[in-house]
Amino acid sequence: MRRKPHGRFGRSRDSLSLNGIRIRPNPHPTMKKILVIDDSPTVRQQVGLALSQAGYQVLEAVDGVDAIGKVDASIAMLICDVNMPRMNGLEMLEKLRADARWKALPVVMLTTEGQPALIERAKKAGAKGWIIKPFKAELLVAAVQRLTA
Amino acid sequence: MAAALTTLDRLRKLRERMIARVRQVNKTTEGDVLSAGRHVQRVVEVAHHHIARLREVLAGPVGNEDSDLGRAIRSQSDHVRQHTASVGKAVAEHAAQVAAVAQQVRSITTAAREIERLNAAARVLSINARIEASRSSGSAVFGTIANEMQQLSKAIASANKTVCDLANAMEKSVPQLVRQNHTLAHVVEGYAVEARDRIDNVERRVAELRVAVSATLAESDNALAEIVKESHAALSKLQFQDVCAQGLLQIDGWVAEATRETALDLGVETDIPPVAHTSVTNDDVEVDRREAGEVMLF
Repeated sequence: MRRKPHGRFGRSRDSLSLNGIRIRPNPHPTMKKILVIDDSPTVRQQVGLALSQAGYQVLEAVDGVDAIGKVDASIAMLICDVNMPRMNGLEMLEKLRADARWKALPVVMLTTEGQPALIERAKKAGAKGWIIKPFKAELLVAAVQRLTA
Repeated sequence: MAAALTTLDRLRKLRERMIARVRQVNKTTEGDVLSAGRHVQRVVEVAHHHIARLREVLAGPVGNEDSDLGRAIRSQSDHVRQHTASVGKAVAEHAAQVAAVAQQVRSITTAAREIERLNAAARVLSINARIEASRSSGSAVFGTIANEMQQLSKAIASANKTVCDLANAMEKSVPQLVRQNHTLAHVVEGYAVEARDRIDNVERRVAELRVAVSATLAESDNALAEIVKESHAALSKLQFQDVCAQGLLQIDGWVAEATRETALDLGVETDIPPVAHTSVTNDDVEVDRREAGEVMLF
């Protein structure tokens, strides 16, 4: 079962807008830093391309351990895989939230997983969103724009 | 026991070969997908660069009222308008001066007629003086007056004739001047109308060009948005590699589980290497395309 009825975005494949957020190349890049955490270089690249086209600066980490070492005050948001070696995404999220400095830092999980129990665990741990892979770039960008606004 | 260990050893070797093969395949597909991603990035970069350059080139000279070309055309138009108005004003002043000259010539003619009338009176006075001289038996005084009056009258007549000839000549010249002034006014007016038409035409063309530039830049923006949209679609499709890689490595987890269960069934203790793909669940990696890409915000 992969049902999670609340907080859902529209899923129109062709739509370039999401809940009124227009997706266009940002003429004045905000250059907000987004840390993308995934053990797959292809996913890191694809998320990075989508976000950099929208005017974000993208940093990368290969797993939870790597991410914990790279988080700092300049980071505006984290996009994190769940299944990763050394430290998975949920463990990283829980460790991050244990540090008072990062309690309000937006974290969105990006994963092939869709089990309600995992989603609920992430939500309780303080995740701001859950995106099921393969992601739609325009919806991912819209979610980032909303959470970093 | 030996057969069991052999079976478990075969399973271990099978896992090793399988993992090695899967990693090799994943590495190859990963390299190709990364390369495709770089191509996508390059396409978007080239489009961005090209459209930025287009905007710089088009918007610079004609894109707005304060552009170099716009200012130059406006300056030239103002100059031609001022020049045309100045020439028109000069022609009108010339016409007024010609009219004044005509009026002065008419005054001269009137004055000449008055002089002629006065000269006629002088001639009468001269004749009267001569008559009085004859009546007074050749009075030298009246004779002298009569002679002086006659000479004065002749001199006046001669001078008046010169003035009349001059006035006549000027009366003939003034209409010619008026005609020339009309011709000049007509030429100037024609030039002014033509200049205004040309200026209007240039300004119309500039306005059309500005509209065309604006439309072109809007089309470019739309094209760029379309390129980015297609790029996003390509990035969405390229994610198959990660899903496939996870799915293939998950097979190792199943074989590892089967090995563990087989060892338990056979009552044999064996060292089972960790699975190649770490996962928080043992669920299959199955992507439901209807839900893929779903975004849930809390």
